[in-house]
Amino acid sequence: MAGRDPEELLPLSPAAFQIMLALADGERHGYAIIKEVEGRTEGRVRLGPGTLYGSLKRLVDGGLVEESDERPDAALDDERRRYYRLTAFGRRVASAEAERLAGLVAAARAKNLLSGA
Amino acid sequence: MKTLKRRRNCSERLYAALLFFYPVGFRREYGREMSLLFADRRREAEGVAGRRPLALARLWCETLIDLARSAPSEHLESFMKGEGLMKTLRTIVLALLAYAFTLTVVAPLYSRNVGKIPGFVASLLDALIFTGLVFNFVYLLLTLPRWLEGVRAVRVTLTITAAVIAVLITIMTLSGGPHLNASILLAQVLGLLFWFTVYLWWVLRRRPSHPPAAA
Repeated sequence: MAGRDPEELLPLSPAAFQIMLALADGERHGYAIIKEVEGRTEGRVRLGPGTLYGSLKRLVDGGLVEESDERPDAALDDERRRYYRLTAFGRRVASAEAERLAGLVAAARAKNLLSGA
Repeated sequence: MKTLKRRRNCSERLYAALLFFYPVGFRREYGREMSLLFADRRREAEGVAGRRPLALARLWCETLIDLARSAPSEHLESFMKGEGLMKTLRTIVLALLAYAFTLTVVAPLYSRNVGKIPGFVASLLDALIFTGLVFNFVYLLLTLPRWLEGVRAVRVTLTITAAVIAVLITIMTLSGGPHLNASILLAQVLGLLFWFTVYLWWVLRRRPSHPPAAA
C-alpha cells in the first residue's frame, strides 16, 4: 500500500468520506458508524444499510478500511457484529480528501461565498 | 407486548426478504449485518416516545429509498466484475452481441465481396464465420450450465465442433451441395484452430496466477 498515491482515489464519494471520518477516531461497527455520522451532521446525513455496506465493501476492497478482530468494549459488544477501522493508507486518503475539501472551502471564501469571510 | 413483538418480527422479516434485491455475493457478505443494523434502527424508532408511528414510517421510507438507490448500483458493480448470475448474464449478452454482429455485418459484407476475394482466402473467411458461430454456441452450451470450465471446456468444444462440422459438411456434400475439396477442408481446419487458440488464450488469461490457498 505504501506505493499507492492517495490522490488517485480522490474525490471520495460523500458517503465514503463520512464513513472514513467516523472511523478516524477508532474502530466502529455499522450502527455506531451511522450514529456517529448522524450526530456529527446533526441528523442531516442518515446512511441506510445498503449505502453503508456498499461503501464499506468498496473501502475494504480498496484497502482503505479493514475489518478488526478486536472488540473495543467487551461489556457493550455484540459478538455478531463486525467492527471496521481505517488502514494507514485509508488515513492518508482521508487526509488528502480533507485537504482537497479545505482547498475548495478556501476558494469559496476568497470569492465571498461563505458568510463571515 | 405480544403485538409489539409480532410487529417487530414482521418488520425485520420483511427487511430480510427485501435483501433479496441485492446481488447474492453482497447479500452473503453483508446481509446479516444489514439485518442487524435495520433491527437497531427499528428499535430506535420504536423508542421515540409519542411519535412512534411517524418514526417507523420515516424508517421504512428511508430504508426503501436506500434499497432503490443501492441495490441497482451493487448489481451494476457485480455485473462489471462478472460475479455469479451476472457473469452468466454478461456471457449471454456478449454472445448475443457477437452473433448479431456476425450475422448482420460480417456475413453480409463477406457475401457481397466474395467474388472479389481470391479462392482460398474466401474459403478461409467462410470457414472462420462458420466455425466461429458453431464453436461459440457449443462453448456456451457447455459452460453456461457449468458442466465444464476452463481449458477442458475449450478442448471438448473443439472436439464437438469438429464433429458437428464434419457431419454438416458430409450432409451438404451428399445432398448435392458445393463440391468438397482440399482447400475447403484446410480452411475449416484452420478456422477451428483459430477459434481454439482464441478461446484457449481467453481462458488462460482469466485463470488466477496463484492457486487459491487450501481452505
